[in-house]
Amino acid sequence: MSVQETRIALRNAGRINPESIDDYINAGGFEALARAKQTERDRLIEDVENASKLRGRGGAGFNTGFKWSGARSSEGKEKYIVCNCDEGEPGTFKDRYIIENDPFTVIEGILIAAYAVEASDAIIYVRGEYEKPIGLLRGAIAQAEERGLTGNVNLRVYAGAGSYVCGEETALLSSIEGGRAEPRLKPPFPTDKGAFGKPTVVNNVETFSNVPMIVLNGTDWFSNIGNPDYPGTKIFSVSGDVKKAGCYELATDATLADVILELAGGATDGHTIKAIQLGGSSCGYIRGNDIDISVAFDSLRKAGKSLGSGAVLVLDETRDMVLQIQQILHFFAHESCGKCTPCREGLYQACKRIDRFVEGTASRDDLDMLLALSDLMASDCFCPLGQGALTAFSSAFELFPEDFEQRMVK
Amino acid sequence: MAVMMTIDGKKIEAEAGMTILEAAAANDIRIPTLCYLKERDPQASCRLCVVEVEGARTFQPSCATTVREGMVVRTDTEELRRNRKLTLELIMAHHPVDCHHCMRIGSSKEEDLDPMFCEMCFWCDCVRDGICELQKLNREYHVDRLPFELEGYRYPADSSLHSVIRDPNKCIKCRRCIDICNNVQTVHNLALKARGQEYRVTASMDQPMAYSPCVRCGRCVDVCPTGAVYMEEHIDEMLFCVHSYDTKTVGMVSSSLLGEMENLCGMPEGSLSVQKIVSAMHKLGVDYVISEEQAINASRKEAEAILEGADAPVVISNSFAVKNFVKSRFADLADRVRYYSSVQESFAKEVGKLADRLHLPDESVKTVVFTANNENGAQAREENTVDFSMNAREIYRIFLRTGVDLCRTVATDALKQDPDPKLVYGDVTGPVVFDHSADPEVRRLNGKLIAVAHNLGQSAKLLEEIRAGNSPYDVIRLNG
Ligand SMILES: Cc1cc2nc3c(=O)[nH]c(=O)nc-3n(C[C@H](O)[C@H](O)[C@H](O)COP(=O)(O)O)c2cc1C
Ligand code: SF4
Ligand code: SF4
Ligand code: FES
Repeated sequence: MSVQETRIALRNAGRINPESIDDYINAGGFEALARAKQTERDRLIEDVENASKLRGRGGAGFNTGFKWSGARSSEGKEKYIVCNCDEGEPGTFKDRYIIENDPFTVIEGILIAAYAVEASDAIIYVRGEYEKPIGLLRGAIAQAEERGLTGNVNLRVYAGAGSYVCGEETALLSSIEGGRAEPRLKPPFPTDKGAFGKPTVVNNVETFSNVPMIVLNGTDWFSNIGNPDYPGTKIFSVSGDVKKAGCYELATDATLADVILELAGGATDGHTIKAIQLGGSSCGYIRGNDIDISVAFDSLRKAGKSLGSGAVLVLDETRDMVLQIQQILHFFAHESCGKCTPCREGLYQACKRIDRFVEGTASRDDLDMLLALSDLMASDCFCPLGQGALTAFSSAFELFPEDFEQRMVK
Repeated sequence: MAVMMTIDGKKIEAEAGMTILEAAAANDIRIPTLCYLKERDPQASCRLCVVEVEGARTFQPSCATTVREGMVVRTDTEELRRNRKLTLELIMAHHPVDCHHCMRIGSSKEEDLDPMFCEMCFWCDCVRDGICELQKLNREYHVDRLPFELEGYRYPADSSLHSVIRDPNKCIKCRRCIDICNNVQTVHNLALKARGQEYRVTASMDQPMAYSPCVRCGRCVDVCPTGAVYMEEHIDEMLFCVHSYDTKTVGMVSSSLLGEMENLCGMPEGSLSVQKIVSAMHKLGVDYVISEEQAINASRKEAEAILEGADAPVVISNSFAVKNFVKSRFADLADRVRYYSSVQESFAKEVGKLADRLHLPDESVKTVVFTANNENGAQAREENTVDFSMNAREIYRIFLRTGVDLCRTVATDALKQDPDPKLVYGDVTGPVVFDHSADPEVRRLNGKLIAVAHNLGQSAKLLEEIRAGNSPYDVIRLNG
């Protein structure tokens, strides 16, 4: 029995021309928007919140409808919908994949949200390097406007300055406002005071792409797919040492083995899987022979792992964890916004220590300092970037201490 | 609304909306802070004030976390202390070790450093030695052997202004100066640049201060917790003058100093008087002292002469920073603002009269002003109003060096002079105390509607109203 993909967000991928709104409409596009507009707003939000239980696909897994109702009940006439397509995480490329195949479903999802919370403005924040998706989205918006589908929502694309921390929702909002890209204190939450101080819903691209089908096929249909606590599908960006890297959309009751072995074809010939980093650079590792685990959000969390953005980085037995960690720490040191002491200074020192492992000159002292820094940063940093920056290190050391020990001076 | 909570095992009642830090302080529980600045929005960037909140996944910054009913907080666990120490050590890796490692006794060990000895020594090359928030925390947390490679000197210091000096190496990125410069003074000179290790505070466009829009109000200096922004010091030159026989020195002490001097000297509030500082000034060797009131009266007389004839709204100021601010931001209104002598300038004129009376040749007279307002220091440098204009920190260091102990100084007999009864505008024309509030103080006096600005942001608001032609005031006093 072979595992099949379940496609909701990617339902049109490969079937429509992403530059043609007619193709999208012929495939049933914008019917959901029309149907949503016939539904009372509170009812619509209630459906998304409690019946469909759609949860954010950007990493935090927060109930989407709950966010919407927060913004809806916030005071103020002007409200914003922001679509997060910063996708700064190395090894995550699902948002780009969605847009490159079907920018319209994202736009339809955004318009439904805008209707639900009575937003006047919608901004799609796309990382600057994503030139093709930016072009596709702009074209799609122009076509939708031409057809009068955007109504009175001012929908636009914002090309981001390209830093990882911009993906964090409050940093993203500051960046949209023209300020420094760095996270803000919460509360106030964006649903109360978001973009330009107005109530704002921030959701991920994949989250929005699910919305039209939920409206169209009904909440029962959706909540019966996959794991009941995190229903629907999840798109995995599989990269690394596998036969068929790429994006795969699976119902959330799948296992990691389904993704890696069945869909991505397993390790390249003659190799075995040593470890998988699931969720992105700020997440821990899973041993290659422990992949028979459910990918559902909460069960992973219970096991001390995380689904994150759905990045699946597969490493075979030739990979040295020390080199992996070196790359990750240097990445985070470069991306730290610099605001808080433990992240800015901690990462700088952590890089120096891991470099010594790579050079083979590390001592016990270097290892202890890395462990001390990972404790400090996990508990003291301002935002999740710093809090998770050394998670990969502590996980790698826990699972593969030999990789580190063999590079230490005896 | 009251909230019941527990801090360090103590059941306390706090006001809803308070931060944990405030609630703790109200109950005599001290939590260390470094970036926190009273009355300002928390930056929550230094992470020294973190505390353990039961149920929270991570430690929470007490300066930015509001209290909740039933909250259980611990502020001083072993893990918290360990984290704070490591955070301080991280800061010190990128901080000059000027004061950290004692070159004289050859040690950085907290136990070896005798504060009494430190106070007498002056080997360390930092204007904040002994009065630094970072140094104090380092001592408290026994930060001595530093576990990281020391890279304390990465940037050149910027002394281009010869008044407000910036040494980015000592910056701990608390952003207090940026907050004051941008949000209170609205000068928008200081800004944050780049990210990661490149992240730092720069003057606008990364220009040297002398080519920046800095108006030399010196308010950033007052809030910096370390020696990263400070007023250029002239301790040696000043002591040379007061000690040389051919030079006569004339001084003035501003009462604006009292609060901060008490603070620096660890004296109880209200225990210090201008007269005490005046006798300390004499101890240093200053020959004559002119009373502050005498100079203030002279300034106010000038101001009232302006007010008498002018049409409303009449805008007056005697602030050096305001002058610079108007020049760069409100050039179109430059003629609208009427300037009168600052107290320091009036003092200089009074000194001239005194010198005439005593037949002292001009070049043999040197003037010394002790004041809390750093703009005076800058004005002294740029316009030669007086020879030395020193702020509380510099004075404190001079007293330490010369063995003058304010706690044991006896006040001189009165130099006291009452305000001139002919002056009718009260303190509208006299010294104004800087504060952080957004709106100017408005009052009615002699049938006139008067606005008094307590900072440049308020001054800008008042000027914008004039620019828009909708200023409701008869008299406007601008201040920096
Ligand atoms: C450092 C950091 C980077 C992030 N990057 C992204 C990102 O690239 N894309 C994204 O959708 N969410 C990202 N997030 C999560 C967002 O803050 C936010 O939770 C998300 O956009 C909410 O959308 P969702 O509820 O639809 O998942 C990031 C969070 C952090 C802390
Ligand atoms: S942890 Fe601190 S320095 Fe790092 S990205 Fe977040 S706020 Fe910026
Ligand atoms: S210069 Fe001083 S006040 Fe400004 S950020 Fe640095 S340490 Fe803080
Ligand atoms: S004082 Fe709270 S984080 Fe700095």
